[in-house]
Formats: sequence, structure tokens, C-alpha cells
Amino acid sequence: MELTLAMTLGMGVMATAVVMLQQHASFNRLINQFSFLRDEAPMINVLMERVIQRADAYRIYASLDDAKGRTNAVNTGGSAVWLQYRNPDGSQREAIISYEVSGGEGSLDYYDFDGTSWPGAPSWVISAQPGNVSFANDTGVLLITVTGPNSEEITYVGNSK
Amino acid sequence: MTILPTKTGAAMRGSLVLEAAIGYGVLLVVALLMLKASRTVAAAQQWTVRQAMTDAYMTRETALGTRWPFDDFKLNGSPWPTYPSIDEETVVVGRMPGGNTVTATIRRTKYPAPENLVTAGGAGTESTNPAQTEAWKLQSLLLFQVGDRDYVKSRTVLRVR
Repeated sequence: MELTLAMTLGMGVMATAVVMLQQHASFNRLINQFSFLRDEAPMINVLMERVIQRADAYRIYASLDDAKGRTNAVNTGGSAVWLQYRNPDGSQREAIISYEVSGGEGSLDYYDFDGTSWPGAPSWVISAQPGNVSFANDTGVLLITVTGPNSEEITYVGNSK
Repeated sequence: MTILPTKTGAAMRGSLVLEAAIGYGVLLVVALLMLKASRTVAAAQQWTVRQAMTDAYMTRETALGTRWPFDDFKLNGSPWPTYPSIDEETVVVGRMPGGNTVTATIRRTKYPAPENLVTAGGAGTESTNPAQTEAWKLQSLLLFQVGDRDYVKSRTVLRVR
């Protein structure tokens, strides 16, 4: 009788420990779901703000190819933004920030115009984590809506000053 | 060397039950501590993410206040009515993981500078304000909740011409 009770209690302790472990794993998954909004999105905002605020002009396009060709500019739902900078010597410099999906993986890329042609591959990758990035300026300011891998979403302003 | 007698028989009876009960007690304490730690981490994370979303939204308000044409924000029906009139609407400031929207209430109003001419909402005259300078404060308040606490964020843009 006593042995049975002790074994039952022992099994109960073990089962409780397993359930606690499962709860801890679930909680860790929940915490990790916030990592995009908590860590990645603010970093994207800082980089985008620094790049875009130095531009003298910008224009939104539906795709990277449209931005390279400077055709079919849009006001909302754009996935690429063309930027123009003026150098101290009066010359101009161009760049494109574009969200692209390649091989099922999305990334927010920066392309720097070398003066004669656009590079085939991104000059650098701003972030490889967003599920989508869209640009709009239908309200008069450049809005950058960043969507994460878990449908989380935050909207930043590209030219806040 | 003295060898102590070992406990056998009736002296050992019940020890397994006692140990299992102690194990349960320890598990209960550990579970409670983990629950408390989890709640603390989750609450801090929610707070951080919502503050980031509302900060981003207020950056948009500042940008709009800076860019809205001077004559347009003075018209009836502009987003910033003249105080004591206040425009209020519920806005979506972002989405949490899973796609649930995060909403807040935005309140907008504007105040004329007292030195403005009477035609511009102030009490100035052509002798006190010979240059006919006109200044307005565009104020936006964002009201939102995190947990059971209410928060208010304020941004004011000064427009002068």
C-alpha cells in the first residue's frame, strides 16, 4: 500500500516536471515570436532613416526593375524606392532600396548605382527577415510598412524631418 | 571507530512518501517562480513593442504636421481643428505576431499664437505684429493602453510664416 502510494507520487512528480518543461518551451516560442518587432524592425528603421533622410529626392516603384528603369511610379503598395543624392561637388548619385523575394526568401536590399549601370546583386542586404516591406506616400510622407515572419507589422516614416 | 546502527524496518516505513511529498513541494515552488518570471518577461516585452509602435506612429504625426500645407491645415475639416475643437479617431498603430491589430486613439488640435493678428486667431494688431507673422501649434495626442495602464504621448509642431 505504501509502496503503491510512493510510486504514484513519484510518477506524479515526474509528470509535473515534464509538463513544466513543455510550458517553458512554449513560453520560449512565444517570446521568440516577438523578436522581429523587438530586435530586427528597429534596426531596419535606423538604417532606412539614415539612408533615406540624406536623399534629396525619392520616388516609389512597384518593382526593382521599374525603379531601375524609372518607369511606372506608384503612390502606394510599392516594393522599391529610388533615391537621389546630391554630392558636394554638385554631381548626383542614385540608389534603390527594394524588397525582393528570391527562392522563397524575402530580403530588403540596397543597390548603389555606379554611374553607368545598376549592379545585378545587392550592394548590401539591409535585412533578410521581413515577410514584406511596402512603401507609400499617399499621405504626403514616405511610409514604410514592415511585415514580419509572423504577420506582425509596424509602419515607420522615411522622411520624418 | 564506531559504526552507527542503520535504521531498518519500522524506522524506514513512510520515508518514500515523505520524499515524494518534499519533491512535490519543491516542484510547486519552482513552478510558481517560473510563472512569475514568465509573466514579468512577457509584460516587459509587450510594453517595449507597444512603445515602439506608438513612437513610430507619433513620428508620422510629426512628419504630417511639418509637411501639411499652411493654408490647408487652417481650413475647416483639416486634421487639426482649432482648439477647443478636437478631432478624435481610432487608429491602427501596428499588428502583433499572429496579426492582431494594436489600436490607439489619436486626438488633434491646433492653437494660434496670441501675437497672431485677429484674422489669424490671435489678439495682435498691426502695431504689435507689423510683419503679420503667423504661428500655429499643431498638437497630436496618442492615447493607448498597455496592460491595465493608460499612456499618452504628445507631439507638437510649430508652424510659422
